[in-house]
Amino acid sequence: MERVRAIALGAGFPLVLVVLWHAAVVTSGTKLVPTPYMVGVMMYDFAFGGVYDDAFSRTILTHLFASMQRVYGGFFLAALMGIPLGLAIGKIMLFKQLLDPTLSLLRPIPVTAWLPLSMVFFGLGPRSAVFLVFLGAFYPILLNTIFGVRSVDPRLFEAANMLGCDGARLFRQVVLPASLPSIFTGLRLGHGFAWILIVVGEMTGVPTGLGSVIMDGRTLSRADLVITGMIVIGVAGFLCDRVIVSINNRVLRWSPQHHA
Amino acid sequence: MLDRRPFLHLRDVSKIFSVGNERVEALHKVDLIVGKGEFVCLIGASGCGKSTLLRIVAGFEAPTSGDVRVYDAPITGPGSDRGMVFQDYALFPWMTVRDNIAFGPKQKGLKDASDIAGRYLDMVGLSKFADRYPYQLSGGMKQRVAIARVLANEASLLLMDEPFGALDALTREQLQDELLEIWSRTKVTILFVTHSVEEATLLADRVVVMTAGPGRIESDNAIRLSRPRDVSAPDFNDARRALTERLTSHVRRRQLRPAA
Repeated sequence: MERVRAIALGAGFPLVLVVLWHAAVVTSGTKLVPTPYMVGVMMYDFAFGGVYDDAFSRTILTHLFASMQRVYGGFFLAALMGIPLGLAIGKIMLFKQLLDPTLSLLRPIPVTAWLPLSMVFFGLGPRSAVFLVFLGAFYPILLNTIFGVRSVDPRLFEAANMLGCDGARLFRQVVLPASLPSIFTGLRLGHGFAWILIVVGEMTGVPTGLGSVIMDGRTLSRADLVITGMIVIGVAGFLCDRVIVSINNRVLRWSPQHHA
Repeated sequence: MLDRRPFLHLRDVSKIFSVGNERVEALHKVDLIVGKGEFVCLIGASGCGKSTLLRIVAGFEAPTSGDVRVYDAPITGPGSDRGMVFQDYALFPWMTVRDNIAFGPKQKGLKDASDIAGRYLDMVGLSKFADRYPYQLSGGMKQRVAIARVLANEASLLLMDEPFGALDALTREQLQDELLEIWSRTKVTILFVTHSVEEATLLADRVVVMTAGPGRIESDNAIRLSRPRDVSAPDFNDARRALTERLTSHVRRRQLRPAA
């Protein structure tokens, strides 16, 4: 019963918003914002074609896969660098002293400010998008990993030491698993940023991707296309977040308080 | 019979902590000899350095001056010959009970680590809980796992820092009995920090009374009661009272000093 109620409330609220959206468009008579129905038709055409039969018909999978490749390219790169670097900075004083000031200086620079330079470095194309996604996902993963290592009960390291575990083995067997709850928080945040940044990343003149669809919609003054692109990003980001949550709950089954 | 060769030998051990500009002498020229298989309790008011002493023997802290040896081998850091049982358990929360106990043997690369863990699980009566995670256990069960973990690592010296301090009275009594049983079965040497006179009288061959400011050994008292000991017996009561007097005499002196 509680579950039914949760679903009814959770799904009911966006439905109410859609109804309000429809009413607002109809009563104001605006031609700039499409009705939900028009967006629905655009979504259908985007997915299956047969309505407008233009350059965007039946292209949803092409754009979705292109965006996912960049999102996950940047995201996994960020995780691959952020987690080991975070473990090292969190546990080894040398790394902290060496890298902490530089990273603190670079961190406040907005990802969008990197856009011009990234086009210089990586050219107009998907590699630039991957780089921006990477930048956006990197800091939350790195900082949460550092925080995770710092907040491990020092007794656990002592216990591991006295049981004959130290050096590189300590990292794999104790530092990493003990920091996992924070690392997952970072991964989830970074993953969210990765999807947020895909539109920025795909502003750099790539022909495919959901971000480029939205930019095209803007250029062509097709708000239905813009909103369709927004909805696909929202749904894809949401579903992928659920996947991460279920991995989180599986990996952290030893700590119910960290279940999402 | 007890082997009176110096198994653990502390000579002139001092420890000074620097807190800001202040230097606190936690231990002042402590000498202590513990024979193989002995059960020695360290007792004293908080701040008397008993936990510091234990942590130095464990190798978690280095003495500022003096010398600590196990059978003539100087202690330079944590080692698997000495196993610490912490008051707050310090179990690895991401490992099952069995994996926690098998951790030490696994570090040594023993193929039968899991079987060894099984034997010690049996010894502490937790076979049914082998696949549970620490968060699913009561405090008493966690402490049994912590004891099994150091025993499975074949520690010959058990260092226990108020191990039963966080447990309820009933569980504490039960664990005291079980510890004595394990001690007589495994012939392990035990250095046990407590602030309970009754606990010290019940468990120890010798009770070392420590005093604060700076921490040093006040007296070394043999408990000549036959085992198993009965806390309601008159001679137990006498021994406990005598010990209480040793413990409080210097406290009273310290209280009078400022007025004198």
